[in-house]
Amino acid sequence: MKKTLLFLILAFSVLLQTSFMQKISIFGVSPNLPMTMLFFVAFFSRSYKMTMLSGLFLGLLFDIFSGTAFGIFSLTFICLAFFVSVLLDSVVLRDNIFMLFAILFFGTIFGSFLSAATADLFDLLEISVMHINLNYSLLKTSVIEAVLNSFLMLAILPLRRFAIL
Amino acid sequence: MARGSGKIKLFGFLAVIVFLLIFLNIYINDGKAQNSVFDILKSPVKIFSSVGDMFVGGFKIVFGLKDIISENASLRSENKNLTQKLVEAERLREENELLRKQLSLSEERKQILIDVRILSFEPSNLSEFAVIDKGRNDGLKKDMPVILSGNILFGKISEVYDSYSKVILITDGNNKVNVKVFLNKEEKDAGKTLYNGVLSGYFGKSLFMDLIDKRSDVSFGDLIITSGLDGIYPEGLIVGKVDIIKDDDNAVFKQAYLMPAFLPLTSNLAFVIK
Repeated sequence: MKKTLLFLILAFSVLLQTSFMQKISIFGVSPNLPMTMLFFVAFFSRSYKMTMLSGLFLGLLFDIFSGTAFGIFSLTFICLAFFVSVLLDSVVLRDNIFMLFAILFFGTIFGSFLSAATADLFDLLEISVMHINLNYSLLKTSVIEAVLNSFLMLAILPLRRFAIL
Repeated sequence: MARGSGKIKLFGFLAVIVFLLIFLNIYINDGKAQNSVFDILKSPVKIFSSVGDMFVGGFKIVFGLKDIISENASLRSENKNLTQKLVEAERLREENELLRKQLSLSEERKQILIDVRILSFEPSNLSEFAVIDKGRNDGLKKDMPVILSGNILFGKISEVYDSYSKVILITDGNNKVNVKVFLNKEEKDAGKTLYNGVLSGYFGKSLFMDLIDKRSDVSFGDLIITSGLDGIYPEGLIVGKVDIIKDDDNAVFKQAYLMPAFLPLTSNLAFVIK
């Protein structure tokens, strides 16, 4: 039951991302609710299985709505879930809330570059012709997104109390 | 240690699933699965989008009341000017029609427009796409231009499914549009010359115009329209206004950053040019 509820909330977050969240943008950059939710699940569920399955689920939904080649975000979200799980296992201050924000901030930047690199790989393999430049502009976008995601995390932190994880 | 190898195994398993789905999507399924999922999600997306519009609209009213008053005053004076121009344009249209008849020229090709609703936007910040509610079943095809009311260019169709399509916006870095400056009579009389360029999306939903002739007189606020040279977008669609001009001594061409005309979006209604 808890798992079903969690996956419903994750699906809800993707729907919000494609509609509502796009209306809220700063310097043309919107916060990424599904990615923030993934870090939330990784930090509070303490289950790598749940984190990686959430990553796959969010990535697939992201791909359906995205105009880039199918699979880019599925791969990005799974990789992100894997790296975060590994990192959280090896970090001593796992229970420190500041660690969550640090991982979210740098994880968002890493996630943006990972998606861009995957898009370029797909371009190279001739799966798609979409090309995302790995440049200063991407860095600016990802840093703004990371800051916005941190604020978003502050807003969704109370979800912990509802014991969905 | 066992937990570590479990993680790697699960990661590998999920990666294989994704690669399988990518393969199925490209070679076998032809987007049918995506179309079915989207059909299910269509209604909730519409609701969320409307809620988003209401929320942002309310936010703007509360925090932008001062701006609304000054904007209203400038719009009133602009409206007067536009009414004057409308009368002049109507007179010219009639004159044009009459001359065409006298010279036995064929009638101007009329555009067939299909009205569509914008359902959702690209969830990531890496590219700029939108999803519209019509697809192959409604006669839409890849590369058809999409505009907003007022002949404002929005983008072109990049992927078509049975009941929906994806639109690549002009603000996406992968979308190249051939453009030129729009010169009115006063500007032409003042000796301002026409300049062309190639446009693509840039950081933060802005536009970047490149390959502008070094000798051309690019100025702030110039209205940029499509030139029709790329064979995709018809001539005369409004693209945006010049915001920042970049003229390096060592560069071969001038460059400019533009504010897209379609932003901020005031309606979810768009039109596909058939």
